[in-house]
Amino acid sequence: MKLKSVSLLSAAGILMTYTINVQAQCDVKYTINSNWGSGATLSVDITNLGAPKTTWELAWNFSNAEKISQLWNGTYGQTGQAVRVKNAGWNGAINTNQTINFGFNIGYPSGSTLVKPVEFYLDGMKCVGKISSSVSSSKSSSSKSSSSIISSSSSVLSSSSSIISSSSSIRSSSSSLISFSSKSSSSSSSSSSSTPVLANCNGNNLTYGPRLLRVLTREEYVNSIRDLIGVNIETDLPARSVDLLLADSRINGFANNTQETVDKFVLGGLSKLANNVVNKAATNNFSTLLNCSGLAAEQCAIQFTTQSLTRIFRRPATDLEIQQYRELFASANTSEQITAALGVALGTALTSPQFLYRQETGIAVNDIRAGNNAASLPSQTIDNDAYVLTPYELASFLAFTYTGSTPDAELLDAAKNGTLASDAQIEKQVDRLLNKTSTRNHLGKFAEQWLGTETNGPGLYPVSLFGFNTTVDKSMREELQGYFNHIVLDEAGPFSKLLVNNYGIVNETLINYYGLGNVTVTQDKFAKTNFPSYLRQGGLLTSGAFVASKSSLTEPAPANVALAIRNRLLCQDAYGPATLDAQNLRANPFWQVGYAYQNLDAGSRKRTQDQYNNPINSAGVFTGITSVSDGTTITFTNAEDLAQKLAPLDAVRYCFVEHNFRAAFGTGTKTFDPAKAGAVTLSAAEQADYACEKDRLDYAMTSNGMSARAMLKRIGSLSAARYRKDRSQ
Amino acid sequence: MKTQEKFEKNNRRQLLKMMAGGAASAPLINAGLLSAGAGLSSAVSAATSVKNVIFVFIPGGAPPNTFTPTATLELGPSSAPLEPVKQECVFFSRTDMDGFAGHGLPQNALGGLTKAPKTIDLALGDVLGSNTPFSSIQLGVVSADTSISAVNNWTRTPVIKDPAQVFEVLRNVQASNNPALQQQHKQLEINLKAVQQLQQQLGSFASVRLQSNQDAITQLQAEIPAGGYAPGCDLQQQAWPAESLNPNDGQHFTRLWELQTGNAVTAIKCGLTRVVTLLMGSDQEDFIVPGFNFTYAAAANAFGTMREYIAYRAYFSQRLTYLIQQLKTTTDINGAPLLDSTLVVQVTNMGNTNENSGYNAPFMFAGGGSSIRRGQVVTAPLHTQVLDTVAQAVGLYGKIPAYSTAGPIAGVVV
Repeated sequence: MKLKSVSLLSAAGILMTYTINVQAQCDVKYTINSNWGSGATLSVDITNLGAPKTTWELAWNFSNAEKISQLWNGTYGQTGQAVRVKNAGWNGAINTNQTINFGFNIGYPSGSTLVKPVEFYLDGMKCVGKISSSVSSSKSSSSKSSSSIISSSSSVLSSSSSIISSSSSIRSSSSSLISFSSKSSSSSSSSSSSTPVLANCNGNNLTYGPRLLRVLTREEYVNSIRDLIGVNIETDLPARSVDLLLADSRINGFANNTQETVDKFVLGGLSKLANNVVNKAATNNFSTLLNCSGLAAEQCAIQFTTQSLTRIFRRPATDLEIQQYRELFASANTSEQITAALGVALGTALTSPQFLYRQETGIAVNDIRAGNNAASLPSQTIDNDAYVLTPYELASFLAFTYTGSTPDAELLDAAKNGTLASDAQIEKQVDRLLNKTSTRNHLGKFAEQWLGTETNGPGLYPVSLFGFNTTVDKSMREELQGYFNHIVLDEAGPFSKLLVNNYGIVNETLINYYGLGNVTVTQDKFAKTNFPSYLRQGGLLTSGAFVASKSSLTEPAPANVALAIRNRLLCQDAYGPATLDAQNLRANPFWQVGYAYQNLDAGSRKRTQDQYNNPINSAGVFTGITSVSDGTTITFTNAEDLAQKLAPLDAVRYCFVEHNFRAAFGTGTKTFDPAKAGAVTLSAAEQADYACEKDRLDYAMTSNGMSARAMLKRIGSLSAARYRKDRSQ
Repeated sequence: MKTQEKFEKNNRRQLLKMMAGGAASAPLINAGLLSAGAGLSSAVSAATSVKNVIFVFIPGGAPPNTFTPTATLELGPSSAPLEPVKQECVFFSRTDMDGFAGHGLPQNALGGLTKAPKTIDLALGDVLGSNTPFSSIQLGVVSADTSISAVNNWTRTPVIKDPAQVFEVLRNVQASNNPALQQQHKQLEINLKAVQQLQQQLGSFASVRLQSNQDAITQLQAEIPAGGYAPGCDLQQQAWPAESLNPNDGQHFTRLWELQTGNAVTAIKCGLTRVVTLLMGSDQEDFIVPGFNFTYAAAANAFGTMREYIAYRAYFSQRLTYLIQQLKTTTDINGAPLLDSTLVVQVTNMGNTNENSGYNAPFMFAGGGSSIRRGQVVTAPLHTQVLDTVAQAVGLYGKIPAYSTAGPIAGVVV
């Protein structure tokens, strides 16, 4: 194993040097032997620096539109710019320090520049030895370059090549290979200025999301009632009224009611809650929903059925529904009690399937071809077994994805007027939604579910320790949500800043709790505050909420920390060795990373001794970065050091994208529920579609200065958002 | 112990504490920190015979070794009056009060001092009573200002002691609700059609889940009388007995009890509620009953053989027997005995008022139909476990906050 000292310019512009222990599998020498401007002959020398091999496969990406026409001493496959070369029948064996060679001819568009690849992967492991590329004789102007290790934006994947190694550890969680004809490094939010060639995508072909009929989550129900009716269930109704709602199912930490059912008990609770909401709304004549003052009963009924039901159902009511509700209204209006009649009609609507379910089921392609104009076919070829969301279903998807609530009037109007059709139109709406206050609340909840901080640790305990109390608990949670929103929405900052920074968003309670000394804020409001590095580090990974939620009574629990880092940050879906050896936890490579946080107490404040006055030991080695068994390591000295090393990693960023995909579509890209492997299995086609969409989201981030906002925005215009299929769920 | 050993041991304890909630192979972070997901699933059985619950509060526990029968249901002197109905009963033995025993905090009898946000009668009422005019009702007999029903552990729900007043309220609410019940039918019908329309539109997609939704609506519809009053439930045509009874006078206790149980049975039979809490007397025991010229408190605290205490306790058992027999002979709207769908739960505030102790408190079930294994004596270590068993009996254990950490008593609910 070789030690490499690497300097990186992090996305935050901070030069960081750290040591990576990487298994140096190979040296690759990529030589352009001759170049005639529209074609070239190249050779590749592979030196094996690892254990002897009996077969090999080398993968890399061309930078432009090079296409292999002939290859010798191996067999190859090429999809777009992704190339894989396997050994021939006679040269599979490479002993340690032995070199083998293969060569090939390429053609490429005249006038374009022949650029040498900077990364090679041998049997799934990045070659970090003496990668070199040279030109033995060339007519091009390309210069010799000795590429250094680690561009932080790429590793190799091939989506459709028949020689994909299914055991490649790269495929599990690392970032996709992205090559594109025009690279944008600006922070503008354009995501459609050029069509990237993404390793997991088949050109511009459509990809399909899952058809879904999801029961509203608690958050979605509460927010919808607030926005539709003007009743805040949590503050306007008796305490714990929200408990009348179906308890959210949680999958991989995220609320997910895609499989939930409205049975009799659930419906009973919903009925009671709807009654309470209606009674409360009646006290101000349902004024948030509609205005019937001065109207005759019949006019009020018309307004309710043509306008209010559209908002409640998230689509216009059908003729039959209008008739049913008008009859109901009339039957309830026996004493000209319009308010009572409205209450009956509203109570019915709030317990209806049209309200309780988020419908993303679409119109069948064949039905559209037969004349159903509720949805339109795309210009690209669409599979016969696909479904197209109606504009209203798409509006609903966008509203709940970004704001956690029902679509507002402007979004519904866009659906009605046909201005929710093109990517540009969708992006315009998404930009608007991203600026809403409700979006900040919703994304704050996402951040909590992502990092597993919804229930903070010390808040669960009956005694307050180290000054930790409900006020501190609440402040920490607001700090986490506020910081997330600030970086993502306000600054549209690089992703790594989410995790590590030199400032935070704190209030007076936290300034006092963290011991930040003379820093002051106004009236306990949250404000951006620089952190002296000797006192604390900003960013989510050392935030109070993150640390407290992983802590026991007195300190971060190493197992909790290890699992959070592996699963919430790196998507390893790993839960540790089958047998837990609690006495030798630190010695186990799986758990050792959890000890990084020993330099912090349960409230994320620095310490040098534990509660028994023993010196703390927060140094160690994090083994298995992209997967538990990949053998890669990172040494760390403490939590801050570990956080700084994790923040710029592709794997962390890619995992964040994975979580965003899950939050939007109710499934991961490879598994529906990693905790219940086999319960619901995603088909290969489904995984392929989702992998492509994940690449698109990642590209949106990497091509916009690592902006998480840009990635979020891209969700709305994904092919999978609009085009659906019956999937494994 | 060396400091390093102490450090490692402490970490091990912390880890094991964190592990306590889940198996080693389960996601530790979820087991330790987040709920594993408690969605109400249609797989959890709603197919229980227990539709209604009546909690009967008898203060003061029972004289030691006089209530709990033997394994062969040989009753003691305090429980002897239950002889005609003992096969309908489940007697809990060795049951200690969880958390508090004694006077002053009777809401503990229904779990009012646990971490659950409200006593079990109110919690059940929220769910079982979501489609009845009253989610639950609290009735008393010579109960002074005692209430055992509480929200947030301390805010108690008032109890109505005057049976005539109770009947009047039931009658008025029934009258005002009849049009509302008809309305409710219409509302459910609209949503049933909406679910069916969705099923038709989606074909096989989500068909199982939508069928569950449809079933839920039809079940709720079946519980609402569509066309008016069920047979025997037209309270508008019923007259209240012309008796002059002082609801605070213990000399009328027997008759007051008959009238209040009549109200409770009527309310359940006629779909006005599903949960009733009935109080016999007051938490302070400062009341008398017919045949005695000293209070219950005086009887229980008398020195000597506890003869008076046993006599009082047997009187209460007679009253309970009356209720159980009323439920047996009264039919529901389908013609079945109400006792088959009603679980009677005897609760108390202590084990033995003579000592103010919390040991061996007399808790029992009666009725509940085929969902309850009746005619047995079962060990129940804590009274809060009995409460969780009630929740289990109505299919709500795990759906409402639990009252104990040990869970329901095994072998009671089928």
